Amino acid sequence: MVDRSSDAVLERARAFAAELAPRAAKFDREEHLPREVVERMADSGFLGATVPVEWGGLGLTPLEYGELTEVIGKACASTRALLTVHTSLVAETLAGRTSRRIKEKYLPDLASGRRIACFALSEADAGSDAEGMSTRYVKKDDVFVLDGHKKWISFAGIADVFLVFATDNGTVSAFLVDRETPGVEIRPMSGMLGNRAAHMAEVVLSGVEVPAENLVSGIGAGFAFVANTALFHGRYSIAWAGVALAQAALEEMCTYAARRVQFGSRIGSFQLVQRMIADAVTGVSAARELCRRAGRLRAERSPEVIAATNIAKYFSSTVACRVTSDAVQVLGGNGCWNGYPAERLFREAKILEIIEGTSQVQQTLIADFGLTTFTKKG
Amino acid sequence: MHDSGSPVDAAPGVDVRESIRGYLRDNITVLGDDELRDDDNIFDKGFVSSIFAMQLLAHIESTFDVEVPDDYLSLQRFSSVERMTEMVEELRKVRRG
Repeated sequence: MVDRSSDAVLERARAFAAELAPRAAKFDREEHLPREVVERMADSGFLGATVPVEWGGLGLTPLEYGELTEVIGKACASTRALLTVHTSLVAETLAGRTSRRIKEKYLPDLASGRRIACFALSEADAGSDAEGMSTRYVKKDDVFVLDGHKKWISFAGIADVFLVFATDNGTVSAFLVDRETPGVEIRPMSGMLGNRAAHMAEVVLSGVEVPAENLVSGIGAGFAFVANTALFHGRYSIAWAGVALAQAALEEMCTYAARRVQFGSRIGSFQLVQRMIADAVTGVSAARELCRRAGRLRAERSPEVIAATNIAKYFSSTVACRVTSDAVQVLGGNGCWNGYPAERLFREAKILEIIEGTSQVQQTLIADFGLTTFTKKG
Repeated sequence: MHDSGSPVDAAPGVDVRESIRGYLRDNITVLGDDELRDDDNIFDKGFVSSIFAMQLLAHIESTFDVEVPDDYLSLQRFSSVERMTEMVEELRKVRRG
């Protein structure tokens, strides 16, 4: 039985992260997150971090979960991705508006990490555009039959359960599909820019029969309610992931600048390097505060939380990209070499501007919010 | 992204249609010449994106003190002032038994 107090959880996370960080480069190089790391995340209770205690989770508050995400994300982006996918996108979503039957069937195992879940929305020709989705379902007696091809699915390589989105002539619904179901084929993917150890795979569904009870929410709830809820949770996680990467890059940048000597001086004394450090410190502080604000609004269930989360995700991923890029710049040749973490952090940061809704999708949503909120009436 | 409504809205006599219309007007971005009509599909006409459905759900449940069941969670039921008004009336009837 793990200690569920938030102090104990975060202390465990920091100790785990200290062991994890030196291994992250190897995971990245080998494109493989060892099973033992996944089990350690499970045994520590992290995989059920946001799941209520009554379902076997830790029941962390949004701010505590954010801090956990930063701690793990600073050590290893692929390990943090497991939190984003399994815990935020799937477990937290199922812990919300789903039937008691689904909760009983899946949540305790997901909270304990006995089973790993992944989120199967993306396809070769459909990301945020639900209308472009080609994976189909038809109702046949007491099952739904799914056919289609999902792509870029993090942790599909090791997941036991897939939250799959499919359409029936434009009516998108969500289903929980067990890995062992006949007709499910997993094709591992390689050569990604970042999150390389996240066991990314394609998921091919050929006449997969899913029991009707595995329909998540109602027919037609798939994109508008289930996927959007999941992405709302995922964006909060990604926002903190940006803080984590930016903080890691800031530390690399400062450490290097304080030691590296050029023209007889530490490069940290050069004003153009100082400018990059100043911008990084400021960006990281601002991103963390936006994440904390989103966390507080989540805890309050404020109507403003959706916009606040989009803003935090957009800003934080942008800051992560800039700060990691500047870290590469400060480290120069060493920044371009995998003997130092800067190049990996740089690659990982770019991923955050794409997943869980690109920066352009966030900008559109934030602009809508701006026009609605700040246009003078009358 | 305005507040989800005050408790007074939950009073049985409140005009559901007017309340939903008001909430939408406060939360949609109208950049064209189209005015919101009660039978307009707010998603098809681009007044809001599908992500707004989550907010509508939260607003309806808190304002009218109803619980929207799983099998009501389709975009169609939230697609217009008219459809949402019908849904709320239906759910209120169920609640009253």
